[in-house]
Amino acid sequence: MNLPADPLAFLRPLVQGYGGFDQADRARRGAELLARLPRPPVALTPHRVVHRQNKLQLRYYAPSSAQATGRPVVVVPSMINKAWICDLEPDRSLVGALAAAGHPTYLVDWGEPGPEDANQDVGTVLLDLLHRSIDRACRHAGAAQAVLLGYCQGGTLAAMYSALRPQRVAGLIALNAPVDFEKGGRFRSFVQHLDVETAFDADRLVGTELMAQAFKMLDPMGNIGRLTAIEAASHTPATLSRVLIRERWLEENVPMPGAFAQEFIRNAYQDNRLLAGTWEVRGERVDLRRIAVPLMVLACRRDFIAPPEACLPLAQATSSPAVHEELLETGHIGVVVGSYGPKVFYPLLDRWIRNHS
Amino acid sequence: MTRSTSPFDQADIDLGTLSQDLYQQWESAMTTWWDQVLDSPEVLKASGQGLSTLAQQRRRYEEQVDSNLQRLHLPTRTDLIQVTRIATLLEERLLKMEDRLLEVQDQLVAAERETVQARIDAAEARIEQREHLAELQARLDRLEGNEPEGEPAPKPTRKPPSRRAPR
Repeated sequence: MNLPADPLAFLRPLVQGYGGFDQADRARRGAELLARLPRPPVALTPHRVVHRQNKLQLRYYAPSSAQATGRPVVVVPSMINKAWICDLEPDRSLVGALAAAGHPTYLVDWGEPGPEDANQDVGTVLLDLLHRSIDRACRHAGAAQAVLLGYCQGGTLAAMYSALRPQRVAGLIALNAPVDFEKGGRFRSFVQHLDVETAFDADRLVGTELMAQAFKMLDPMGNIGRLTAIEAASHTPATLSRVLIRERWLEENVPMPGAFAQEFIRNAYQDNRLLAGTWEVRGERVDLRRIAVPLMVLACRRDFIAPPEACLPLAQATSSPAVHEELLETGHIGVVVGSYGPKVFYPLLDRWIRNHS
Repeated sequence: MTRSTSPFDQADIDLGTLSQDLYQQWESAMTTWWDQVLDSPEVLKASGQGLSTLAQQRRRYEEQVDSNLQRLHLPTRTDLIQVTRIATLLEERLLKMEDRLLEVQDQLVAAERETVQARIDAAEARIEQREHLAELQARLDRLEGNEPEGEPAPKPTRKPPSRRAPR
């Protein structure tokens, strides 16, 4: 892409070397790079699709370690992100790391809903799509039960599913999964007074442009920091590639079915019904106390999207006999994208799954 | 060594640090301002209303496009959605049938396992019965005086269990 010539080019030598001006200029160069550079490929870990339903695909990552465990791990990402956020780079792939550690790993790729899927509600997502995926993963692995690993909104959904259909669940890992939505941070402030009936049509999709803007508004000044980070990374190809992958994460959202958005925002963010135990899915009350399997609740200290105070209450809300609760010293995305994943997070997951398999 | 003649240097002012400080102050002030703006109920209410208006405009636009296509006797967006929804429903039905078949398969496997177990139990019971009968026969023989007292009865040869299903 050819960008227009910089009209202020003649001024730049005059301000070079002066910290503040440099900072602004770095942000400008970062913006240029962001517009021009192609995005690196993602989802490179070898896998096989073992089940499909509509746009959903269940991806299987075969265990490669000699110390393979028999119990499958089903990874449930958020519905508003692409599933490849769990498989970003060969050395920073959540699903790749789990498979390499010897766990038969299945990733629920929700796919991109079309206008015909706009009427999918929370019931469809939990009791049809997710239920069938977990069933097929268990059958494929030849196991009676699976460990669920839910990330962000996927964690909330995995917790709800475990409460509604505990039969197939051997353990639950909720990573950055909000359950106390009253403490849902700025995102909650955005949607708290929203008239969901008029803002989102139940038979239309909630566009990605809307969600991308909402996420940018969670940390407006962070957008400048992102640009300077791109510029700073531009001198090292490997670092630049990593930073651009993070940009892909932020840029590539998935539209949400209107019916799902209405129900989720109203029941979770506006009425905080999950923790109160008053959320009903297809007439069934979601009672988190029905979760009686080993539980791991993980939150990140620097998380603007799902603040720790919104995620950690899950540890006290269930009747699980073995609860592991931990506050990780990283951010919402950094836990999976950053070096924290391979160093701390993946080994932590592996140990916990082995102990509870 | 040349001496700087810049008035800033003579006044002991480091422009680099000064501009960096200014930038940081601006960044901090902007962060506070954004926080105030985004936490303000008026702004949030207005943005919510904006969102609703946007959704209504979009709906009207799509309805207009649909009505234009209809007048041209072309398939509309709604028509296409309906067709794809039917395809999705058909797939859902097929998957429900698959669910049912898998359940039946599970039941068959469980039934087969039970049958095999029942056969094993029956065969074992039959063997036990035979051994018991043989013991009884030996005792009878002893009572009739066919064999000297105290001599153990000959052990019956164990026949393989019958392959017939138990009744």
